[in-house]
Amino acid sequence: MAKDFLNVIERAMLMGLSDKINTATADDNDVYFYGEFPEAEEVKFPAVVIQQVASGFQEKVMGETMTLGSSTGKGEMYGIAYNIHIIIERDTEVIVTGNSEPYKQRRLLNWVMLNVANEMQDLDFSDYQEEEMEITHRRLLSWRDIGFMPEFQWYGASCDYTLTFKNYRG
Amino acid sequence: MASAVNVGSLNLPKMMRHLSHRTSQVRDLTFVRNAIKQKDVKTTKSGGTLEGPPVSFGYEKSSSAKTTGSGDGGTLAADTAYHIDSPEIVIPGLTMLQSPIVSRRGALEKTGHRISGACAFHAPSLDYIKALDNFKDTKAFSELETYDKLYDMERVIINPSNVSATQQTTTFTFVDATSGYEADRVRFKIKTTGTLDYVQLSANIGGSAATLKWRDDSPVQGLALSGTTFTTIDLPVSRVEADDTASIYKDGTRTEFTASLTGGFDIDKLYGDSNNELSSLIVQLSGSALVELRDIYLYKEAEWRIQSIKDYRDEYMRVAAVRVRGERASRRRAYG
Repeated sequence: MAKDFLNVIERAMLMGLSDKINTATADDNDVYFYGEFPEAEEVKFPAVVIQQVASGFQEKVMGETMTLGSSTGKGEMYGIAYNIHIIIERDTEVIVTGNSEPYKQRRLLNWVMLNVANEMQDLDFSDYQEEEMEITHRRLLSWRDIGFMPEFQWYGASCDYTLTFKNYRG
Repeated sequence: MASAVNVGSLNLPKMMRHLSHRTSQVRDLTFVRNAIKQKDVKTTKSGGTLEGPPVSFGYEKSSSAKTTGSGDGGTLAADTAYHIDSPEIVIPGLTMLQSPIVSRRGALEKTGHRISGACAFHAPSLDYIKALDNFKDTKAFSELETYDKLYDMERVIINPSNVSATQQTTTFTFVDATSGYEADRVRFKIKTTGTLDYVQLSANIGGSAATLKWRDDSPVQGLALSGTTFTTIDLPVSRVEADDTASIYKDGTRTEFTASLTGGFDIDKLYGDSNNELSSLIVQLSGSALVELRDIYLYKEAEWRIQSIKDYRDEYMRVAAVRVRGERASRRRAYG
């Protein structure tokens, strides 16, 4: 079967982040994850958009041979770069587990930023991957453009996230 | 058309009727909106259900069907369910004043030659459009939206004579060496007490017979038509592959026609000699009946995509549209 790592990783990341972050919020206080900027009719806040912005070969390996699980075959290290955007509407409220007072605005933004960063580092992809794969490196760079857009009444922040995986081709 | 609709102080529909006798800038367009497909959604992980809302990956699947209840092994929440099936909308008979009719700008770019263009349509008010036949019955049509498409007849390639007869098969035979490579769609108006079985375009490719047949393949085959009012049928004939589908709307109800091909039918190959030619257009009813066919056109389409809408309420709408598709007929004849 043709390899499909880019999709497998993207889907696992979206499922994993949604699963982990929403475990830390009260029922019906959801954070929504999107693989692209959502259409106006389907967007819900707080929204986290994971946008792939680049991908390509990262590094060749000695002999061009690598292992994936119990298999050995051709391959190299492959890198993906994402931009992650958090968008929170001014009136959005989320009850974080253990708190009775809902989080809003900058407080909510701070919480989502830190928890997305944490989960991006800790996420166990094996719970969510739909095909065997191996991620060897991941790095979330600093959050930037943290602020409020008065025209939209949105709080937001963005960051760059890079990830390297074994592009095993058998 | 309901007579109670306010046509405004300008009365654009009446103005267009008058203008249509003097200028071909009044166009008879086909309104097209693409199907709204389901999005790929996941609710489960290995060994359990995902916390929080279903995760929508954003990209579409192939079906526009309604989804409720369970999906993907779990239960879809209301916010990802599709309330109703939303197939494509194809409704002919929308009249607008267009300026200019043909706008074509070609640019030789890295990836090849691209044809583009822009025009403005002046349309009757939305209330008027929503009272038109088919539009008034099609609940999925609520207003013109950006990215909706308007198919115009840029050029009529073949225009057979009108027919009125009692018969099952109506065949329009074309003269020897009729070329077809310029045609994109076929449109005609039909009035009959019978049921439309299929529409077939017959050709010769390399001296062998080839056909494109559009037919309703549902369990109850055929489209029952009206014996008192004309129904407009508008179907694609170029770049059609077997099992492609097309929509025919009558009184707001969609019937899906499916394409079947024989002899490797490809209209681009009909460059117009005795062995590579269009031979006939056949309109077949399921039994003999009184049938009237008029305004029969094989035509080169211009696909306009709505870019902006300015609505002047009771008076008219100004619709700016762009054309992003088009090809050079010379290349289409040579290798299209």
